[in-house]
Amino acid sequence: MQQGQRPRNLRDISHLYLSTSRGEGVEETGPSAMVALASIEGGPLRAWLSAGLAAAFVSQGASVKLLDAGRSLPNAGYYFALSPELYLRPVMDEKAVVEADDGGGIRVMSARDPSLLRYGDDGTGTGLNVIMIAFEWDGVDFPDGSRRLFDSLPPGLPVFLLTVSDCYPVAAEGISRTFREIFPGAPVMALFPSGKEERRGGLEACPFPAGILTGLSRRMPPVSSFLTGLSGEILQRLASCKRGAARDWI
Amino acid sequence: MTGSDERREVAGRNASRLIEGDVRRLYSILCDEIIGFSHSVTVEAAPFETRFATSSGMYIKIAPYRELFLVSSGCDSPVEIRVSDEAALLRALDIALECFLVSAFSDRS
Repeated sequence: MQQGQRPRNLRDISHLYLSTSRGEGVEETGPSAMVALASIEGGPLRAWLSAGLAAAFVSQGASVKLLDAGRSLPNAGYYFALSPELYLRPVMDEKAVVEADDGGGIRVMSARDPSLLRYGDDGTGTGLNVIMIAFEWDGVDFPDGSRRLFDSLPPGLPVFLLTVSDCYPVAAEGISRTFREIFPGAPVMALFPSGKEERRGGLEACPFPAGILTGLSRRMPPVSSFLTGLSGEILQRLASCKRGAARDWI
Repeated sequence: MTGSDERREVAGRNASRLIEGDVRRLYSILCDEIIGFSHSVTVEAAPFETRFATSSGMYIKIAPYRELFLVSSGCDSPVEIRVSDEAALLRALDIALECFLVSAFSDRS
């Protein structure tokens, strides 16, 4: 960078690292990266965090397809202000899939069973396309449907795992190991909303700042500098994976 | 901490106050979902109502009345909903969920 030249922000450059363009004038559609969010103990954080991160990725120039799976309420549809009759359909029908498009770059699919979800190659558009898969970890293995989603992804896709739990760092280590059996060398970060900073076996822990969970009940994706910063961090690490420069976090 | 099965058993004690069929099924669904909000949700079967609460301030009552049940929440703006069909159940569940989420943060602060 030349002296005096103003640095570009991540939004200006992230698409360059994660786009699937093969050459001038040839833009490919399809996912650029996958972010998996594993909620280790259920509860509202799965949907809240995935909605907030999806919005943060959009603010960085991405389009996002959010696949939200789990029995815990709320689901992602709550945070995109769907009516109760829509976002709570899976309560009455286990096979129901809730779909929504916020018109601003986020498309949401939500179901209780991850096997009902498909990311599809259905026109995610050119540029930076992020697939987010949010699910609940039962402490043993990924739900079958989540594994099938992972298996259906294009080979070589940069992936990132984010875990969220309140007080189970051991479980975060377990899911990290299982995830890396599927995606060797994938970056992993564990979020601890209780604010505890712990490191076990080198797993990177990131505490939520105090107060960020205000607004859990607001029917809109949460917005905060923490989520914006987290999304930027994730995109940078995904870009590193794509360039083959991924660091081993364990 | 009481397990989910035990809590469901407690919540189910007042189900017999409802006539068999759809309304009793809706009552069971609502109880299951409220219990599923969090491991911290406690359940009490009082003589004429079932009470759900958390230490952070969520308070929801379900009072069965044979062909319907009343759902009331104890949040900032208390609301009471009469449930006898699926649409009303979903509105009641939505309000109960919002009540839980409003209080959930204070439990973490």
